[in-house]
Amino acid sequence: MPIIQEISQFMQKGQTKQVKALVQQALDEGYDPKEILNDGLLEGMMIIGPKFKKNEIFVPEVLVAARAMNAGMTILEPKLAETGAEPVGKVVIGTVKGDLHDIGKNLVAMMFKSVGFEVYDIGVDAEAQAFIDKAEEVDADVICISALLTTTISKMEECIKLMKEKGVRDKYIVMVGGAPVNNRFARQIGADYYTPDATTAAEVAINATIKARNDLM
Amino acid sequence: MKITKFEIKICRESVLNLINCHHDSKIYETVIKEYEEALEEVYKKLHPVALLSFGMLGDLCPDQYELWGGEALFGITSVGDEISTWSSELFATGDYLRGLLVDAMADDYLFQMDHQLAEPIISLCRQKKCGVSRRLEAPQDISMAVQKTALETTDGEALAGIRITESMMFNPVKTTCQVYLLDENPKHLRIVHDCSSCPNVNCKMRKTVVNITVDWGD
Repeated sequence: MPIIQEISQFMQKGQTKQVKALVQQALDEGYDPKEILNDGLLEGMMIIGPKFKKNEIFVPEVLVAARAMNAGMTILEPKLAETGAEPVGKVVIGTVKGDLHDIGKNLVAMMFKSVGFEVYDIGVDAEAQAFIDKAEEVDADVICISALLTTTISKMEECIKLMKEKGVRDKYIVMVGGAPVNNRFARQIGADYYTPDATTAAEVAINATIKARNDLM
Repeated sequence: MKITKFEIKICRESVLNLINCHHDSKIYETVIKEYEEALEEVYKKLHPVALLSFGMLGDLCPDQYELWGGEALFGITSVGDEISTWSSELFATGDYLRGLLVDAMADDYLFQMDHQLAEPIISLCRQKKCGVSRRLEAPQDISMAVQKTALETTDGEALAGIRITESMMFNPVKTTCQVYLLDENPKHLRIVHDCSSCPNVNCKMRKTVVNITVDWGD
């Protein structure tokens, strides 16, 4: 079996040590770091995502795969940086002001990283301005806003209103998520997308980012 | 009343159920190993505290419920913030599985604390010669504002370092609040959580059938 395919398969099984060793081996054998990333690690995650959506696997399986991916990336990232490889996109993610929940946000951030996004996590209890500041600073593609409480989802709307006031709303793909959020609410507050889970969020973000970039061309 | 001593053993099966890891999972053994490795450290990072105090509920009492004697019993239960901080750190370093496991282990502990509060609640009610007609939880039964009242009534900030945001969310995150409406009949002790009225329909610990109406949207 070709080494790149092996990387993908071990990654899907969450075999961290093997993934690290195989990524190193592939680099030693002269494989292009981008090929290792795209056809090995990312390919593996692209198989994991649909399996999760079809309930063939559950969150723990996704997490071990993502952990293996992360381990492989620690070897690969310096080499990718040398080649000037660009991430799929840049995401700013955080939980709104007044809300301290972060497990859901962490899961989404993990999935974004696992599909090749550069993730800037501004943490919990984040001011609306903090989302904009970080997005402007890193030239983000996506702003991802999380809230878990009925008392804090109104802060999502405040974030989007502030983006409009500052004239930057259309620069970003705005995604919202969290237990009290749904599609209708997302549309009502002017977000671009609501996704119910982390894998869907990553999938939607990739497609939306690619579309946004194509639209600019 | 402040309680910090709890006899709780985290239930592995409950934790695995919480994170959706089942016996037929290909990574079941991996998860078990991670669980066992984390267990000792989890216990060290859990700082359980429960506070119980009688106090005025006032206008916060929903109209449909009778407020006997004007008072309610407020309960606050927390496992502290060290465990959540650890979970976040694990996620930040890419140890996602352990991060999730640790979070679920803390949840299981917190749920079990709730069960162990039955005895002190009954004891407090006996002293006051009253019962409990209903247990209320925010936001499904009562306004989130009650969490602030509960924190003030139990003196939670001074006694346990628990704070609350302007959105009525507790810090530490793994903190829960219960309000027990009093009853003149001391034999009425309805102190357990009512799954049927809880909006968390995806809860793995739910013990009641859920009827879901699907709204297909526009």
